[in-house]
Amino acid sequence: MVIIHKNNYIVKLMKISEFVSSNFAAKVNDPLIKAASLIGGGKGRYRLVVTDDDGTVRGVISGRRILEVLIGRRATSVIEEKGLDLTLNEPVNLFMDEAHQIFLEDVNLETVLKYIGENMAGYVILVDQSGRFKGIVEEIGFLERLKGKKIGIRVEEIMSVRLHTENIGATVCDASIRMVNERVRRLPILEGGKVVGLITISDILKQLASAKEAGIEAAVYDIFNRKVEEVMTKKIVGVEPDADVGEAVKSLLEMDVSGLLVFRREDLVGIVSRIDIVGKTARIKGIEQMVEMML
Amino acid sequence: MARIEDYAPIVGKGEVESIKELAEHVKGAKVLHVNATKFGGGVAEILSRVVPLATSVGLKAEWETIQGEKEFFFVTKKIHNALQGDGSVFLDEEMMRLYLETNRRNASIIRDDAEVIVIHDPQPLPLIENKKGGKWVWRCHIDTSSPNIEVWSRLSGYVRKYDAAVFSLERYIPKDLQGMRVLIDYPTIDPLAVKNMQLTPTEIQKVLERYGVDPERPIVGQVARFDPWKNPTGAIDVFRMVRNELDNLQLLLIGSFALDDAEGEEWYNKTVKYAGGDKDIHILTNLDGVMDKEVNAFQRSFNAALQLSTREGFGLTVAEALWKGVPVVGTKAGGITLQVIDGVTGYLVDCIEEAAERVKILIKKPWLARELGYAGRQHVKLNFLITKGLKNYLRMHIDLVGK
Repeated sequence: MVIIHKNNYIVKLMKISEFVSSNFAAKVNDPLIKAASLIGGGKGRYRLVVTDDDGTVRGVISGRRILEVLIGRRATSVIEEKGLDLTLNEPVNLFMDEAHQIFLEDVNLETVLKYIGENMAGYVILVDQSGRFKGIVEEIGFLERLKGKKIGIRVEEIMSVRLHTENIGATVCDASIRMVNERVRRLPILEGGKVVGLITISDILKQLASAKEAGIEAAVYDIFNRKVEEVMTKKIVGVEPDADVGEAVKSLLEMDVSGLLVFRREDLVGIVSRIDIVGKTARIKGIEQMVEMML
Repeated sequence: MARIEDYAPIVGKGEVESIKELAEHVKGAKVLHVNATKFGGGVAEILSRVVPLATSVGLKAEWETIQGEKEFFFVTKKIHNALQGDGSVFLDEEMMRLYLETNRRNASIIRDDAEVIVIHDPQPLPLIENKKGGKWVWRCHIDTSSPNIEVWSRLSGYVRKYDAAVFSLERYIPKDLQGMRVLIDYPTIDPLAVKNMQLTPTEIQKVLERYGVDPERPIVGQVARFDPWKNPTGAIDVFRMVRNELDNLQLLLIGSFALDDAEGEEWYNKTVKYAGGDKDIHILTNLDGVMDKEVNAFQRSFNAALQLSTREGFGLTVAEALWKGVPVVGTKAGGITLQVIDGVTGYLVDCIEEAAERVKILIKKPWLARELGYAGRQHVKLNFLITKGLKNYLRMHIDLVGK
């Protein structure tokens, strides 16, 4: 990166390639269970770009999509026909989503930040002129550049206040259905009204990744019947609503989590995710100022 | 007849092969699409391309429309407006009776052997009451992110009876559909359709001359239905502001009278009246003979395209303009922000004054318009072409009836 301290030039001199968080991709013919293992086994990974053998981008598979298949909300016809075991061994190509956030690899940083800010998009995919995958730019790449900086926005300005929770007595299946229904990636777990844990889609897929040898269908059945407390993260990472967003960035990175619970004293008042930070900071502070902060 | 192989020069052979591979899993599936009109608006346009393409890859896809009186379409337009957030709409018992009765009368269009029945938008929504077999999908093309709650609550019961619901954007999913299979499907454009195919400069010029539009003078235009949500009068305001500085500017407002759009005529008349007989404002419709090829030619002649919608299902006319290398000045409604990247493929604006300033810049700096237009075409090529839509469509069928 070359830095010239004239605002108009700074943006152009920071290359988007510096923000690529991964250039790993699944293949269209990989079985779905492999994608599940890759997502569950990867630190902080929630989605995978899927390419064909020559590296051309063909789609994206997310943790939520896999969870939807596991609870029978998607691929129902295939599951009825073949059963869950065989379904999970079908190619990921049948289950993924089309990739819609594709940019050429020479796109500038400003463009990507504008797109992310306007659409609250969690990622963009970079390709070369032939459509071959060059990397995925996710929120984490921007957060790492914001680490240690004072952002000048309070957490409560960007947090989500639509809270979905699950009770400690619930099963993993209950939590999975709730996450799919509410289209969220994480649920605070409550006991007597108090937060005692957090369960994420990645936590559930991680269980599957380690249990697959025992037979997939049996493993899924076993995992889904466990209590959430066996799977949830008990160490709660919280932040106060009045804190600067910079503090949330620090906690997210140090604890390697994708979202933080926001507590006012002991009351849960919101959740702040990586995309909340990147997207809303871009909106509130403006692209130029955000880029300056990342220098 | 569209053939999937014809798309290979644009999207590559690999993409075409991957479509064929997906299609193998649902080959022979009998699919029935039902909407309210064969002509006018984005849905008819999407179906006119997707149905033949689906057939070309091995599905047995068909497309029917429901028939109704003008009063029925008056009610369904009210419903449309209510779902897009018009809180003033109230459906009385007589309106509901007409809505349901007309749908009952249309029950015979549902074939018993259809394996997947895709019902588009609210007009034919209650057809689900006739479900005997097959998987039923409600494809909602409108922005239902903050609907009129009272109206939505009268319809949501029907939606819940479907096997799946499909929305254009994540944020359009109503909050009370928990437990349903919900899919997201970005609309796409067909680069080989008459509306988007390459035209020669001579063809474009002929169309302009036929309608008295001067090819030598700058042109700004909006292609959209005549509808309050599309803000055609706002486009006239922008034109007037820009013309204060650039007095040779021309405005083209191009729309169509869809059979299901009961308010179209009223809003067309309002727009004509608002234009006040200005000879440099050309308000053209299908009734003037402006069909797909003419729309294509007009879009290619724009120095800048406008999309000033206050609400938008997705705004595919934005992708159409961008595909033709024309930058778009648009509001932040619906899917416009996915297509217009501010300062990259066009400009996003918050008000009429800002739109006027951006249009001026684009007319005064043709090199800038060219750069933005080039980036716009690239953005559409990577993200909004019909081959992607077809793959999502095939995956939905695999999900529902795949073997």
